[in-house]
Amino acid sequence: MKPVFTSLALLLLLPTFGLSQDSLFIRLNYTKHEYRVAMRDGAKLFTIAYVPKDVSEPHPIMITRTPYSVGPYGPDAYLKLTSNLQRKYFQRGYIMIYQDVRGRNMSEGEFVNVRPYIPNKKSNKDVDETSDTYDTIDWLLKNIPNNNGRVGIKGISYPGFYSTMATIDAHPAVKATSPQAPVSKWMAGDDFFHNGAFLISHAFDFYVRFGWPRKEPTTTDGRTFHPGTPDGYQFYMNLGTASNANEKYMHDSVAFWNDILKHGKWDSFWEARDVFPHVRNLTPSTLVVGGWFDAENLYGALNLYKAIEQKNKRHENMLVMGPWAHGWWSANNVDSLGAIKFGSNLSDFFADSLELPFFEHHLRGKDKPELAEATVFETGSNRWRRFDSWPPKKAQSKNLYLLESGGLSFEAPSRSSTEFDEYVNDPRRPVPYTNEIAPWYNAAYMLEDQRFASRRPDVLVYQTPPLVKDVTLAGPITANLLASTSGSDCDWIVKVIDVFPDDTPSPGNIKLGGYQMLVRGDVLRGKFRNGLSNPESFLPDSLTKISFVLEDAFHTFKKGHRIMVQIQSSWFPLVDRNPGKFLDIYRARETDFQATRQRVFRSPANPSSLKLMILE
Amino acid sequence: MEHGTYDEYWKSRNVPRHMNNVKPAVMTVGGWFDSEDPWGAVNIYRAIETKNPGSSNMLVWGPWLHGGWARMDGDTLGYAHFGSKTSLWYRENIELKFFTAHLKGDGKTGLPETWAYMTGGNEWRSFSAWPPKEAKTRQLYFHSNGNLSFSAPAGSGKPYSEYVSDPMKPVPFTATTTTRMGHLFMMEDQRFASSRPDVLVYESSELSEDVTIAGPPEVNLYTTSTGTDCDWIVKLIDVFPGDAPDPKPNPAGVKMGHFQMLIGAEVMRGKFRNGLEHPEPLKPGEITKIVYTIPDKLHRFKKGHRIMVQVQSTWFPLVDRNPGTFVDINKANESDFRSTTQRVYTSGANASFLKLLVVD
Repeated sequence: MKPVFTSLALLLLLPTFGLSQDSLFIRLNYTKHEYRVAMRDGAKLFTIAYVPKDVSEPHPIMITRTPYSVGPYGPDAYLKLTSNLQRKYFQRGYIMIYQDVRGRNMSEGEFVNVRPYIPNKKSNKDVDETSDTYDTIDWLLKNIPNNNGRVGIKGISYPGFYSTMATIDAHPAVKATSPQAPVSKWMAGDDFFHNGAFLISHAFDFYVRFGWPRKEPTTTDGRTFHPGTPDGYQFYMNLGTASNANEKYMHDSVAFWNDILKHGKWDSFWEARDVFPHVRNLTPSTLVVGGWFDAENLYGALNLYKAIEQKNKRHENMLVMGPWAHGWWSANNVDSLGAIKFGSNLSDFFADSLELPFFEHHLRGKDKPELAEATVFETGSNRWRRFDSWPPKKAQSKNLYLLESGGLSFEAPSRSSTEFDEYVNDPRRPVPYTNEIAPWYNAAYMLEDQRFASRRPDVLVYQTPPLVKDVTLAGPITANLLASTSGSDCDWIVKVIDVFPDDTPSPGNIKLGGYQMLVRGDVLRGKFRNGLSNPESFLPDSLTKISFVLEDAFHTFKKGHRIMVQIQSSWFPLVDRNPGKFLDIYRARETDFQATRQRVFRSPANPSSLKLMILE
Repeated sequence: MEHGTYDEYWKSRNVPRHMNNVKPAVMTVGGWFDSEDPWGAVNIYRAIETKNPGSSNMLVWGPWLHGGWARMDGDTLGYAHFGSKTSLWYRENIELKFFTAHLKGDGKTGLPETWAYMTGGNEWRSFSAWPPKEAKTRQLYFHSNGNLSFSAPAGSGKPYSEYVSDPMKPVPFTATTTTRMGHLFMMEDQRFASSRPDVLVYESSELSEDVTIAGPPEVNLYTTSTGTDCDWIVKLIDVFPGDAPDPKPNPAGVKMGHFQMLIGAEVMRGKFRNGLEHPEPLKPGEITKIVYTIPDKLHRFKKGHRIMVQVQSTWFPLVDRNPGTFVDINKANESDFRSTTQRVYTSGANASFLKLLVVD
């Protein structure tokens, strides 16, 4: 949920052609206004409106609300366009609205991270993001001349959260919204937590910049932070444990960091910040967008789509999933990620065939586009596919069993000479999540070659023989392990991997022969195996059922490839280190760390498997 | 495959022992990052020196891969920049001078006994002997808490560190995907290895002054293994500070902050610890001293850097896997492979250390 264009600028060299012309285009064709729009409680939110000079027809309104600054500020400072997609809205004459959310940058009020929704508002003092959006729209319709009375809202990442909130109790003028990589349910799966495990490098790096208190409205916000090394593994090893972050860097000034450390399990604090229960009785059409390799809000995209489906019958709700990292659909045709190339003009396709037709129809009455319920990119085969549901109705669940000697098969084990495989996990030597030296996170880790991990003694590896026909995985993956630990807590990381044939051609310097492409990996913090609100210790060395869901994937393992599963108990510094002891990890010290012996059973009596959704 | 020990077959192929009555002037040349024959360079030089007192014999070391002095410019190697075209400089100012003096002139080359390029400090240095006479011996001790220090362990704490070496999950010698040995592993970032549980890591505190080593580091390990054979690999590493700048240009995209640059490393096949002719099984659990040298170096660990030593028992596939059992490895099957628990002792009379030759 980092500001998407900032992160993109760091990761890619965006084509810079046309920037000055863009600025000139906006200046020639638009008038910029800065408004301080009063909310029902009197707080004024800073709002920038770019209004077309053309008044030959009324124009629709497109709103993005953000905690990452709507700058440039000042009536004469015009936006510099960074993406083709954004440019297209200006070229089509949308009234473009950008608002600093309550308490950020130039907006008044108090900022609250993923501000809880208030279902029954009793007075004008009961404000939340839905009411702020409502009040803003009410004002815009009355004060922006030549609007056509129809409003769309979109945003990526944190602005995706605000797009979701705009969809709840929506102003009647809101016809369509597109929450993209939306922050939706922290603690469970978005950003900083996966199944209760703490994604420390993402959380720390975000909050050490974003989380500082603001004295008064300001055009600059947040802070820069220099970790003193480009090496994230080293940095977080030196940090030791999450409990040291305040002493070393944050000095108790970053309120939300403290909130995270205070709320080590699912409680009323997190429940209040869960958007899913509230996405009911929706009136705007919704287009939920995500990336299969989004390290931040893959969970939010898939699960928001699902929650809207479940809670709203006969409501237009669609899903787009492409082969993208966080927000990359809005960049300019980034057609590969890491070593893997997916196609060409992927974001043009998204813009011209999906997002724009969706909004043009709902906001300007253009022809209804033939959008599928789910437009999803099938990796491995590298093609877009359309389905009338996600996961596809035709997908059948099938168990993939771990076998002895590193085997993996859709047939359950019929015999085995030993019961289990084991490894020692040592929190003082955690398994890296990436082979790259990266300060924050390596955006391509979600499909990175896992050979660096499979060669370690603390990673279990199982693989099928070369496949005799294509196998297409379409939907969630459920890990069902029978396992034990010699400690009283531990993490379980399960990774599903596509092993390329040895003779796969290598483009340039990238060696794809034998490449172990991560398709999906996820972590369960062991103590949360029976629920996030319900931490339970492990009985040392006793057989325990471990079941958790890895996010959906849509991937074809081609004939001749192999399916591989890796199991490990650390994934550092993506995930903070489990000390191997049942305690409040946010108060743990390095002296609490202990190595544990981890066993995964895979015998006929005690099988372990992954439940996959297979599309024939 | 037939000659797994140092037998007549290999003895008859030993060059240094025949370096008698050497009449021509000899200049032996070696590369610090030569993955093939750094041993040959120094041992030919040494053999001539020993067997032919007073002969015209000199040694040149540069920051080169195998033959790099003859076929490259020598200003860069992999990610590393050496500040000048060292191979060019060698060819013009050493090799040409040497042959010109001997073949066209009076034999007076004006060259020192040894020209050696100092990595880390990036400068040519001359010495009147190799290793330098003025070098002082210093012992760099391993501590069981992971420290590395010129002071011996005080005796408190655990007397050893240990790991399990599994031939089925050997430590890679490189993080690069390749089917060949290549050269650049000789100076590769070792972070891929130090995160592993089967690699012991000992690291000094930040150096308060430069430490320059010259000559062959000598490994002195007090060890046990639960097997009857095993390998020991000791790696000497220069750890850069967190804020070390990246090279410019940086086509390989290396990140020099906290970079762990391999300086020198060598393996000892345990059964040959008392000689290549007579393989001897290890006695499981019995403390065994392992002594051998890492090929020569002239390297400056700069102030603010750290010295690191890594110890491991596999280095694959640079070195084939020791099965952990005393067998003729050339004829071993994978079914012979056993995991072994490897201990390095760090206490009292069994304090393991590296003996370094240190110059100013």
